Amino acid sequence: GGCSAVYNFCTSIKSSMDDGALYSSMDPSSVVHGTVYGRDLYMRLNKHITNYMKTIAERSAAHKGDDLLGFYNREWNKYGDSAKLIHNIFSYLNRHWIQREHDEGNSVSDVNSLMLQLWRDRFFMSIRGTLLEAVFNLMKRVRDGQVADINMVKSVADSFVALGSDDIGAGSKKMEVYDKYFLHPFIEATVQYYSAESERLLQESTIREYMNRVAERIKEEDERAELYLHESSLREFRQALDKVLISKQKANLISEFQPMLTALERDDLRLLFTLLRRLGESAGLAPLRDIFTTHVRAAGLEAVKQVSDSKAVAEPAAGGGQANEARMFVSALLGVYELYAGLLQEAFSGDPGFSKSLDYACREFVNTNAMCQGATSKASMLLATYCDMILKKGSTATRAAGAEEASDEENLEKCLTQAVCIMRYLKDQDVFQKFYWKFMARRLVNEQSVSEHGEETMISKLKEVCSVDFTSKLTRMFTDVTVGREMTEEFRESLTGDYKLPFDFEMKVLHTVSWPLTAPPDTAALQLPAALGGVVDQYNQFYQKKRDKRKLNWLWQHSKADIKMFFPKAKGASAKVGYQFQVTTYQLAILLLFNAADGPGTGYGSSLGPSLTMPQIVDATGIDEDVVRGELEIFVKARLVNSSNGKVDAASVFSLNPDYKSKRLRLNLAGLKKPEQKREAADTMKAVDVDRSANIQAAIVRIMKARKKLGHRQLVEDTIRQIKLFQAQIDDIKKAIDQLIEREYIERSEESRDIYNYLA
Amino acid sequence: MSARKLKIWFNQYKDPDTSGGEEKITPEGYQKLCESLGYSMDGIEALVLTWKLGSKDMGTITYQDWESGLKQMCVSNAKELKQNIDYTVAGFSSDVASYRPFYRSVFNFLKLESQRTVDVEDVKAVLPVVIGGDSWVVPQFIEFLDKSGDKVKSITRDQWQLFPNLVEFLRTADAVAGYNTDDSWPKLYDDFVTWVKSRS
Repeated sequence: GGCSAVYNFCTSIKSSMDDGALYSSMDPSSVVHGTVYGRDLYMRLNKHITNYMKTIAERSAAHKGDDLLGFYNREWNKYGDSAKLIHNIFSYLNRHWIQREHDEGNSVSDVNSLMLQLWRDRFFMSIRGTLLEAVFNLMKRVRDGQVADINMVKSVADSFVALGSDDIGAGSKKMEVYDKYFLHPFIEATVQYYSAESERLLQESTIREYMNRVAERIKEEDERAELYLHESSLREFRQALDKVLISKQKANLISEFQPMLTALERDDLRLLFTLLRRLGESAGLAPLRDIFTTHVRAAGLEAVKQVSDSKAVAEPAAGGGQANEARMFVSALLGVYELYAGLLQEAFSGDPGFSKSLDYACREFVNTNAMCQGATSKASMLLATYCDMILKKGSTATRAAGAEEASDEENLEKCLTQAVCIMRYLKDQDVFQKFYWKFMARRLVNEQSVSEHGEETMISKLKEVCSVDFTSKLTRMFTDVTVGREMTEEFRESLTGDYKLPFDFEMKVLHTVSWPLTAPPDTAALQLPAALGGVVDQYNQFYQKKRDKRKLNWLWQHSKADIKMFFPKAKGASAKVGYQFQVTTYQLAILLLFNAADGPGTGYGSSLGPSLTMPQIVDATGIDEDVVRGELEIFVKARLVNSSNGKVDAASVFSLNPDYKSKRLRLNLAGLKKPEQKREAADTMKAVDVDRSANIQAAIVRIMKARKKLGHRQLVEDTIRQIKLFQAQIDDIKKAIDQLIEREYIERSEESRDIYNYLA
Repeated sequence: MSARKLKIWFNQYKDPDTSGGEEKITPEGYQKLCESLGYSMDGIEALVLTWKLGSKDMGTITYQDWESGLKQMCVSNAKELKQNIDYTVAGFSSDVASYRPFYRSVFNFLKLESQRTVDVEDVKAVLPVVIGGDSWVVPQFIEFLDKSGDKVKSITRDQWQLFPNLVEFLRTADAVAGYNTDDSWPKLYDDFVTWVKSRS
């Protein structure tokens, strides 16, 4: 084998030396001889190898195709082993003679390099054309689906790599030979092959089929390339492949994207995405993303439009009012969002660029659509209404999308998560917050929460998205209610001695700042019924002892009472247990007038109770006339109270209806007064506007304080950018600037009216 | 001019009732002074004169104001005074730098010391007097203020100070169309120009 050949070779070198003297380093006198011997040895080595290569070259002529590849590989491997061995044997030559030559400025290759050079120059260069042809031939057969030995390609490629640069020297690892003589022709051949194939495919098949076939081919080539190509070539190779198979057909492929989206063909979408991703972010994916954004936006707008067109929304009274409108709105939004969020994962691998596109599209259709037009922030209000609905007792259970089997608790949590998801897309977060705050306050005061856990869960979800300013208010409200219960207990226990609570009494003490509630205006200064007044006094005293400096404002407009009424003419159960009514404090005050032994009306002491006119009632209770009228209307409509003229006006005389009958023994009269939704909404929006004005002014002052001097346009832009809570309008910013100039926080510069200076 | 002569001149117009303390020319006397110079109280000169004399309230001139003001103007008699004032007024149309301090000071004359803004009625009365030239803007703006009724009750200093700029800006024919409400003009002007646009 290889070793004996080397041995023979070395021996033959030795024997052909003229005087047979051994080359010895120990003998100083052999320095001169060493030089002569060194060069001589080197030259003889050179000559011998050259002859050897000549032989190889001659022998190679007898081989063709795969056979030639096999021959080449065998010889190459053998040669490589020999080269190493010889290099080591002649290491002395390397270290001394060659080194000396280098020192004298003569470039002489070390033994290993010499041998590679000889292979390259005496054999390889003449054969490389044929070699490559054989490789390409083999590749073509493989690509056509035939069986062939890929490993031979690898060996050939390796040898190209080893042959380094055109000037092999000093063990350089340059890839010149490989790149020039192997890789580029190889890539060229690949490109030609696939150019032809794609032409054929396009003629014979649809673009979808083309896409599938191309994906297969690319997969094959990718896998194969790793087997035989040098790793530095993979990128260039893949790019060339992508260019011929994908880039060329980009326009056609992209035009398939929309129909795939419309039909939600997930597999095809995934394939197309994977292919175009190879072309890079801007060349391949950006056009897809644009189409995706447009599509999702349109889908969202269409979904909302359908809801808006449907009857239930067009006639709110028929469909259950705003709550229903809100539910349908949110449902439509979620339908679209969840569909495309799912698609994002399934077809687009959660690609961040596509995720951004989804967010962008959602932000557009959530805020401005058939149900929410102009700058009205209606979307925020509807979402808040939706949240109120699912957190309130008694509303028909809302099934979360895709949560058919979940428990009520899980279902609620899922609904809340979905709601917060939509909330992130609202452009007017402050409107949502204000309405949510209001609705939650109402739920807590009226004890309408479907579960405490639900309220807490929502607060913690909101904490992830909203500022601490906001969520701390909510948490505060929540704890006020909990603490209130404890305090009521304490109050009861504190009543030792003579005073006995005439009725069950429960209190909620609310921190003013955290609740969107105000004390009733002075004009509605309620004259407390005596029994109630007594308890209130007791509580006031109790509270003073606990919290010395604090003052309690009683919110009668939000307070309620449960009363039982026994009608003289009642029969059966209603005679035994009476009718139980839940009433507001104002209603209570009015009704008690009819229960009194004395008063401003007439007929006290009669079996039917007294009669009173509206002015008398107003006077006696101290309640606003409008409020009294409203309550009386409720009583009359419920037939609890009779009106002498059937109406509710200054002339009417009211008395209890002795023939009152109802199938239900329990009635909620307090709940019959429906809050005027439109007026309330308008009031809330006014509060939002006030906050916004303050917000904008604060932002401007902050910016100006930092910049000291700023141009108008820049100030407007910076202000809009700084305010995340809502979309600041230029109009409002200008108003704020005008006010800040007047209040002398900023001034217009003397240089130009377009520049503002900060006034310290 | 000697201090004595200045005082004599001053005394011709001073308020005979000196119970308030220092001697001063009050509006009634001031009117006579203006008339002596050939100026009507409706004209700009009357304002310029009181301004140049450094008075705090229009038409009220303390002797101190009188003395220092006349000295600063380098005038010693009525003829020279009139020349000075006429010259100043003439200079306004060509020299914005000299006009501006005068124009701005008019705001101080119009407002009460305790307040920050000026009543819109006063502004409407004075604008045609202090804004020279025959720009269409002044009468239109006054009409706009009329029509705005309760919505515009007062004018701020910023709004007042920018008015000549607005007049200048709207001088060209297509300026109204080119007016952009996103610009740095006060909101009041935005409303004004929008109103003008809606009428044409």
